[in-house]
Amino acid sequence: MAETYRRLPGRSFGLFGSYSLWAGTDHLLAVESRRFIENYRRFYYADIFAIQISERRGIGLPLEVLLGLAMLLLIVETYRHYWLAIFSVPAIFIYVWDKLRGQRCYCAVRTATGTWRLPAQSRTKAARACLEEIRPLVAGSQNEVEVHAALEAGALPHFAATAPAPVESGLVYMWPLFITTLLSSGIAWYNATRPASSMFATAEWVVGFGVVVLAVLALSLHRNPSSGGPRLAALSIVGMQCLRLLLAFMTLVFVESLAVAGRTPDRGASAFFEQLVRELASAENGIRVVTALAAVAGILTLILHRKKTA
Amino acid sequence: MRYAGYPEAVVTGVAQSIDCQACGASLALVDVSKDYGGRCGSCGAVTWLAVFPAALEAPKSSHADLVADEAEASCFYHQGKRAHVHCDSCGRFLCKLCQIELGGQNLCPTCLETGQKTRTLSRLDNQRTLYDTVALALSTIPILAVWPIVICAPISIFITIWNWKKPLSVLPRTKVRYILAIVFALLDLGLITALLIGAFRLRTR
Repeated sequence: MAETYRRLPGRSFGLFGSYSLWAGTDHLLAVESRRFIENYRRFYYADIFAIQISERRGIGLPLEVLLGLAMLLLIVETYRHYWLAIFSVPAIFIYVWDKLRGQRCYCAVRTATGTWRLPAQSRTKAARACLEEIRPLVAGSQNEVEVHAALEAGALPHFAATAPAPVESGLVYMWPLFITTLLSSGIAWYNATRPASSMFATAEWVVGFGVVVLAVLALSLHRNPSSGGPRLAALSIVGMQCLRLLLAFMTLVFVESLAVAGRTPDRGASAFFEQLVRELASAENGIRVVTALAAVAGILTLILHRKKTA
Repeated sequence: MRYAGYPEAVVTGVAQSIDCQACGASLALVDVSKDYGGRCGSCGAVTWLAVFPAALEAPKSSHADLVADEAEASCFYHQGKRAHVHCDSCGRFLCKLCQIELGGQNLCPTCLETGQKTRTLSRLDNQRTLYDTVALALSTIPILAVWPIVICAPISIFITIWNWKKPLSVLPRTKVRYILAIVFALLDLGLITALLIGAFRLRTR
């Protein structure tokens, strides 16, 4: 007979799929859904030693303020450049939705063999609700022992011996990332204000590529949430670099189109493309400023983090 | 105050054993209602820990070393050891070492391996391909580019028929995606036929 499952509170979405948690008759089923494939992991109630929920640290007040200002700037800019709504509407929606969902968290199950993350539980409120639903199921399948009394009497839980896995921090890549970003912004600013120089244009793209590589390294290794701020700054920088690439591509395409339109008598199309190229150029300057601001904010949070841990 | 009630450095029985899931630092937890709680001194994140009785029990001792007398039934795999249960699938006698409990059944290692290979034991499935979603995607997404549906629609119908009886997800799931896939695939084929007929008629005019 097929096992029947009941969905537990909490669900999270990743880049390539979603995560959910289900309660079976004698086990907990963690499901990772990757569009066409589902991966399962089972935790039998009798084997669960503990369930741990840890709040994820926020991005910090300086970056919250910066993010709020960026949002405000985006809204104001959208009035001037209507096409920015493509970015501002989803960005504001994601920001508000994230705030409404509440505090982020990590949730893990501890068993005799180790600690297993439950990615489905990404918000504290849902994770706590889930814990309350799991608690009677787990307790019902284990012996009746007064845990608190035993721990107070000096008993040590068996997972005490398991040392936490060493965490490699991506923070070492954050410093070069932010400094390289500032350098890239400086070169970009120089290129924008001085006559075109192929050497500086090449340098801008080479340094820009370095920024993306460093950001990927930093974000892939970075797991230290006490520095969630640098992570957000790094993400903003990657986003901005991608946007710049997109704009560069679009400008190239529209300049070509403009050249074609210039050869034809269709003046309406020509005026439209001219306007669009101007709009894109002004947006690129804004993006350069935001990228530089993100790098400065990242450096500030790194300094604050260093002070805190010292 | 969000952190009220979660002092930082009160050492209890579980204090030195817990690492903060957020930053990996060691945590000192105190008794808070039903659970233990504490604030990480490194990152400031609050942690809750629900400890269950299994964490305090001694590891279960195995009776697998019990030696069978001549008059007693012995394990099929270990002749010298006393039989404890029989396999619910093949009936072989098993000692405690060979007994594998799965979903209320006692199985021997061979039946477990066979069940895993033939996928008859759903509890051992760690991964499933959602053919219904594949079929539905094949019958809908290619519509955007029109001509790929010539290939994708028949494939979608084939996948639906071929996998109709195969188990879907381990989770509760109906066959509505298969039905939709068939409907969309037939509509796709109808569209292509209409386009071809139209093109043929235009040519013959």
